[in-house]
Amino acid sequence: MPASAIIMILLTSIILFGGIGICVFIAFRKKDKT
Amino acid sequence: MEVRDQWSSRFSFILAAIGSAIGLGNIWRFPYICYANGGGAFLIAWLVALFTAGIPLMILEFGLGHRTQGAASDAFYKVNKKFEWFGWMAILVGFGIVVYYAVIMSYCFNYGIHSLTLAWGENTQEFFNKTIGLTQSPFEIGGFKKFIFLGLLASWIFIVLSIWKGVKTVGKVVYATVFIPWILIIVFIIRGVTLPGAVEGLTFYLKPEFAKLLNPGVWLAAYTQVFFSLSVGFGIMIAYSSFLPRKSDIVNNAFIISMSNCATSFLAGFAIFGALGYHAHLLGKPVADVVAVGPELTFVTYPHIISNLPFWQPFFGVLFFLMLLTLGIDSAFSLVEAVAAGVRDKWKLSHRTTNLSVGAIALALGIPLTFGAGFLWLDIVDNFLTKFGISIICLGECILIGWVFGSGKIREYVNSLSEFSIGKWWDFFIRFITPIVLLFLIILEIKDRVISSYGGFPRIAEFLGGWLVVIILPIIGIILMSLRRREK
Repeated sequence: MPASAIIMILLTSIILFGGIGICVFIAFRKKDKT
Repeated sequence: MEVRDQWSSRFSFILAAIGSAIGLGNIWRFPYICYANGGGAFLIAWLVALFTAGIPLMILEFGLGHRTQGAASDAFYKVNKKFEWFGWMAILVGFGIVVYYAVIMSYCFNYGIHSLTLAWGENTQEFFNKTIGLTQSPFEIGGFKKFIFLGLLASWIFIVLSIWKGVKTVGKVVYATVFIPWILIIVFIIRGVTLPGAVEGLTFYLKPEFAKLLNPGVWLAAYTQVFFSLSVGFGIMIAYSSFLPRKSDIVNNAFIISMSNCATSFLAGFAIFGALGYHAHLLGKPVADVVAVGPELTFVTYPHIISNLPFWQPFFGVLFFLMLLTLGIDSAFSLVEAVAAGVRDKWKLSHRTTNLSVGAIALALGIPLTFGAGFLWLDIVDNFLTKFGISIICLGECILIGWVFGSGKIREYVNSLSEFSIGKWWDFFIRFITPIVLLFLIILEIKDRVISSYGGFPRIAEFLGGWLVVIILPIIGIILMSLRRREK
């Protein structure tokens, strides 16, 4: 598989899964809200 | 005072909204659109579309539903009494979609049973045509397919039971209907990428062609994909958020739900293209020659791949169609719940009366689609409801809320509740970027339909199944608005 495809896979994964992770982390930190 | 239904927990709400957004399109549409529009480069356009249009629209719908504590019809009524018909129109677009979506679920149900014996044999196209009794023309009605009808009936029983007590039941069912397909997607990714030829398939899926980003068509495809896959424009997200307790986050939930939906699409591509690479490898053809999309992928190409798996073919066949069924079911019942919530809000009917009535009407409307020509009509209605229905509703939301009501009011409202705030950039996306893109999409689609009829169907069929459906929705919306509202 070309390196450019691997870079796109990594980049997309970081944005989506990293984004979800950050949002879930924020939600847990402010757990007092429903 | 009447107490409105509420989600049992924030997690139930998030799962329900994710379940609604994730549907068959994540499996059978996204991977193909990605490959056809520049592979890995498309992901850039798609992520930009997600953050500039998809998430802002999701925040708008959540904010509107939560602020008004009403389903789409009630929400727009509370914004301005004259807008109620528009809320009904959004609900009716969703209702139209669920009528044929349940028929596709019936196909999955039937194929799940056929998987046990790999009944499709070698000629999967012929088997599909025979299973649904496919005719040559929409006006050649064909025979009644009783197994498709039975599958449809089973789908509707499951849908109605899933929303039996509104969001109380939905909040429990979604634990199964979201986690089962996620687990199965992972199973199919592992199965797909470990097959011979899978790397060629994945390269095909994600090899970036950055030059394509200069093509406006790629950006339009990215925005279209985001609009159609997030379940915005049907009133679902408005209804779902109206059941949140008063003190609930809006913005963070919208981000989590939208990104989870997109992550699922992205991962599903690995399962699909891994398997397509294997298919090409078996046939000794390039991947481009075996790529398929939509029902052709799931009911013609994939069954062929299943038959040729190295081991446990029936097992993987059943799992594949179970994955599609569980992916589809929560999208289907969310569409019905959006309708039921609208009816309950206006006429104060019970869950039981509403669910049974809506389910029975939708089942009755779906019966003609179980005949031989049903698939052709389904195709026409689907194209018009998704291309025009959703686009018009999303555009209307941007205009009515962004310009008439004032996007600033929604922004201030959601910021007062949310774990992080949105800035004025959100107003800019809702008032300018999203409506401009949507308007462009609608104009392009009208232009295409003027040049040639959809799918080469006769113009009269296109009019009856497409234009007429789109025209009739606002009329029904106005009729529903004019009916007397039952006060508490």
